[in-house]
Amino acid sequence: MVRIEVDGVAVEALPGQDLLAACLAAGIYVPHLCSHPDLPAEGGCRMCTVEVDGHDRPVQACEVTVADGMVVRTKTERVEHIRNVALELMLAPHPKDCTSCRAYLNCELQALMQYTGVAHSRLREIEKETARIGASNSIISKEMFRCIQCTRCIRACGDLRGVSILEIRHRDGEAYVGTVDDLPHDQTDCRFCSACVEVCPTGTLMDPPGLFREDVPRAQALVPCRNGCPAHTDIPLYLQLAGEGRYAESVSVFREKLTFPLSLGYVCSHNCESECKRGTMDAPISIRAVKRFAVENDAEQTWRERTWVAEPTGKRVAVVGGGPAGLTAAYYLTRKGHEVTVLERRSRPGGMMTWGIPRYRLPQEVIDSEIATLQEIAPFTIETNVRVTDLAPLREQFDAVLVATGAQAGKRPPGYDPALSNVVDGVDACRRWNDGERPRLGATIAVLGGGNVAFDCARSAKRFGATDVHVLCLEPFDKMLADPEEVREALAEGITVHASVTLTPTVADQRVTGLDVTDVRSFAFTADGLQLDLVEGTTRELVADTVIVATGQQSDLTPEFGVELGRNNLVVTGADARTSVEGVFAAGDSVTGTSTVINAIALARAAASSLDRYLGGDGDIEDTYYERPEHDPAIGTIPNFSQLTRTDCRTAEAVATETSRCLHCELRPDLSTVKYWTDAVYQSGAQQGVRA
Amino acid sequence: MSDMEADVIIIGGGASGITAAVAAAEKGASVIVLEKGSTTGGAANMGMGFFAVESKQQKAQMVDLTQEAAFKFLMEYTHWSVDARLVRKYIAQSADTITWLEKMGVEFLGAYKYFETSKQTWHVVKTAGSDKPAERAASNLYKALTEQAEDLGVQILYRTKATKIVMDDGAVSAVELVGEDGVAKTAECNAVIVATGGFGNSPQMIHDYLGFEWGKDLHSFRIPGVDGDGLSMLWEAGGGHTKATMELTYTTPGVTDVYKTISETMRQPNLMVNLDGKRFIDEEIMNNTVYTGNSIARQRERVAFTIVTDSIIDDYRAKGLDYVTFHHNIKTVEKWDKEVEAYVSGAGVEASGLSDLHNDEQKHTKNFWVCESLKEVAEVTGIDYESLVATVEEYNQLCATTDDQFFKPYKYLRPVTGTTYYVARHFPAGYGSLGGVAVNDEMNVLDEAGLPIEGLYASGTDACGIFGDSYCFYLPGNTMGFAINSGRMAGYNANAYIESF
Repeated sequence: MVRIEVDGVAVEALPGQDLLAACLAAGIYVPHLCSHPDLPAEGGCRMCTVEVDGHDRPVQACEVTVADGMVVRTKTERVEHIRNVALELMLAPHPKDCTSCRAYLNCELQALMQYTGVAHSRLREIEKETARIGASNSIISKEMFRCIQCTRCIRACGDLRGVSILEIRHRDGEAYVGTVDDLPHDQTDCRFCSACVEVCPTGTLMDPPGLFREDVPRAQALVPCRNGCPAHTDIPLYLQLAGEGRYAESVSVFREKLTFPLSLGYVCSHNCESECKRGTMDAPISIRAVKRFAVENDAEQTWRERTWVAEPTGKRVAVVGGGPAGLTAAYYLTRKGHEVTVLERRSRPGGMMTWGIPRYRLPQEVIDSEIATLQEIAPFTIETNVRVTDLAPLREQFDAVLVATGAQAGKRPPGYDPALSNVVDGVDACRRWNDGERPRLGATIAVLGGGNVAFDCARSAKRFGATDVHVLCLEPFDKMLADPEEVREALAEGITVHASVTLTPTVADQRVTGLDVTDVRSFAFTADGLQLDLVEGTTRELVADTVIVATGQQSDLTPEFGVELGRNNLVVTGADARTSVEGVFAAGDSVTGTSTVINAIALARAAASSLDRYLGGDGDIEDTYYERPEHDPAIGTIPNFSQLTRTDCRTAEAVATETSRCLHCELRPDLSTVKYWTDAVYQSGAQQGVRA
Repeated sequence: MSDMEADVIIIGGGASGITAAVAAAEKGASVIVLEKGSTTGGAANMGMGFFAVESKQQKAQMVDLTQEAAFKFLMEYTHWSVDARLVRKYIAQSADTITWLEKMGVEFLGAYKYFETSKQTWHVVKTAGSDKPAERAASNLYKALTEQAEDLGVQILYRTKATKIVMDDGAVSAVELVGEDGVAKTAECNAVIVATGGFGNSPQMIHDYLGFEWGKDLHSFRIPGVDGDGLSMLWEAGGGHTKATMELTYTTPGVTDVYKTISETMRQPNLMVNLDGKRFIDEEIMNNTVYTGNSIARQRERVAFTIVTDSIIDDYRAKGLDYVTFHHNIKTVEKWDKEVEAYVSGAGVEASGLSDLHNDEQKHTKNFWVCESLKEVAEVTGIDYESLVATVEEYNQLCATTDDQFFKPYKYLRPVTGTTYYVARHFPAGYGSLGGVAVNDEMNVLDEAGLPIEGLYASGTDACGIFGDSYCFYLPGNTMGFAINSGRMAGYNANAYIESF
């Protein structure tokens, strides 16, 4: 420990520490601007000027290493004069446009003006010719006229990241911060990691408005893929490992959160990809395909060696419903030591994975093998062909119950009576196809709805012999709920998509004999129901042999089941997945309505944790199958980084290329948050009598 | 389930909030301030100083404005439509607030006018190392208040957002908030002072309460964080609505604040017309930006145009500009040619200060043109051509004689003659909203029935209803003056309320 004296106060510093860091760590505020805790000292801004006994002239605290017995004065007239003049020099070319700057109140320069009292430069205002060089892009908003040349961005890009696309440039006798050859970022080696934005003390480099969500804690929002995944899978890490060919380690990372990773590799709704920042540049990272490739190429499955099953607790749990939610909950509850029985109404488990999603999208063997894996590790019982219509007996036999019955019942718009002979619900059609039935639907099929189920129906119908298949939905083409891939494939298969339309069925002899199709300019759901703005004169008739209604599903639970139900017969849950009945929990589509496999897994994990706590456990179901090394902040450069296009991820090389496109958003939260003079840590220092 | 507690919780650490914190703590209350930004002072950091009457600076400068005269002036200006008791208390306290702040180490340069015919009430804060009025000078005043608050034990939570004022049996009991870590918490208290600065950054509220469409017919400041959340919380807690207004000014989007010489030159008292090609204003009042903003806002499509010619520019080259403002401090047109060239070449799009908030179309909309003829002026601006020609002809005649239309003084009558026409399009702008919640003369929030809500106070811009329909630029420094003084009152009164238990 090195002992120094700062403004008459004894301070202990670390050997080798610079004086600025020592003062700040001790709660003594010394103004600074170019200095940043994660970057090498620059000594350029002169704001951290202090006097050290034995030195003739004031020194910059960031450039002096502490030494025993050092006596420092941070608030003399002399140092304040130097700081103030230095700040005036910075302010001379800085625009006075604070009121239109998004950094307002989060600007270190503004806070320094406040701290020093220097709001005004006595120098003539300088208007630099070079102040407007540098164009914004979708990831980095650049307003270079606000730049004070502290060079933090240059050091972040170079010293920290090893990318080095920023530099001090010179033109017409002016110096400015710019990219190499003043090129737009996508023509440089820029990796779009946004470290430059994070360290910028002013409103020069900023995140474009709306780039990150503001309704979650910032550290979470800064990694959009991981935040976007309902299970918060550590996506950046598993992408990197897969890219390096370390498939077992990659799988270990997502196995920590996912029970059906291979199935998800086929059909996940991949909100992670929708949120991926690279998507604003060209196309998101193909995260789903990387996951699938990693599972398919993981020969070792090392995660199995690190998993655990707790000692038996003697508690018994019934899980009603053997879909992704029920099976996930059963898996974790079994591993927590409880004896779990899954009660599945159909002949095989898997829920909508087995009975809803068509086989061309997700092979049955994949589902079966993943269920088998879960049961190998956590031997829970699955009883098939058991339909539970009343919870009461289960409450007698089991210590707790989890309801995961899904959303099984088709929901029809008005005008499509269940008695109509040629109208079927999409969910029923899919179930029958997957059960091996080949119903005669005719040559022309109209599918109502714009979600994945509608496209599953349309594409299945096409495969099973229909020649003329139409998908019709109210949403405009770019707002359809289905995955864009599904829509693309459907179009490629010759299916006709009618977006932004409304339909009126003509009924005769218990059949829909035709559909009047009318274009819709816009629509809204109001308190008075659906409001449509029709395009006059666009009505035409579509005659179909069969109409498949795929406009949503609801729970088929009834009040007799024994828990409180809400809209669409969905189970009402409070905090922690509890239902209205003591000891009964719920998760999955029976709570949310038709959703996704990944959502079911995420909800089931939360419900399992909650249920375990109810049974006296600690609720901890977190796994660590891969020990995280510290992040390496130096990502370096990759040739033609911005030009790398999304790959199909069918080969190891393609996966390596694809994962190399990652912007490494996960590195940004590692950067230190800069503290302002107002920060409590300095104010408490001040209260100890440090303030002059 | 309380995570922290204090006697008084202040929502917003701007001019009013931080002043209220010092005032309440000075009287012995424990205080927590919830501030969304990383530093205090809020929108007032951009200001230079504030209003006071009968201060020692004014006495030293021989300003003969008395409290009585200022009071009567403001009440006349507002046609007695505002709370006279509150106005009287505010004016009475104003000079003492200057002294109060001086004791905390704040220095003032003196009392200033905002424009020629305004009163000398604007007490501009001195900045380090300079004895000239400077933009952003007031930021330094908030350092003094912040340090004073810290010394008095006030706890300031930065990057912290209040979300709800919790009421219990008609009285304030707690504030719900989201901390810097993103975690929701509850803080118990006996009194809340809301001082969040209005809704200048909420296009939705601007639309709903003021009837403007931001970015289209209004280009007001959008200080980050001034989102109207304080007013929403006050209303939700039962606070009564009052009519909100905006301190209107006017602006040339993409030009003002970037091309300062163009902007200031096009704001000189020269011919101003509307889309119908008609003159509608005595341009002499263009230095009263509120009146000009009001006047533009009632023209068709809420736009107006000033037109100058090369011969007028030559005149300015020789004599300097007519109107000079402290804050922009452009006295000459020496940078005219350079700025015009830069603007016309489009070099400023990225740098216009519009890039973040305006959409692409707005960003690339030109609001300043260089034309060869009145025909071209009409073409690029959409001004009615024939009417414009007639107006220019008529105006040029007035310039040769006298303005018997709107009585503009002769010295500002410069004929529109020459070979090059410069045209700027002006829109209503503004600093932010004013008012919205009902308060009494103790800054105690009133419910819809006009009865005080126990423990709930509002101050500063959220509660500023003392200017009537238009901000009173004749008594400059009033927004900050009201923010600081009403904050001080709210702090004292909240403490007195707690002591009454």
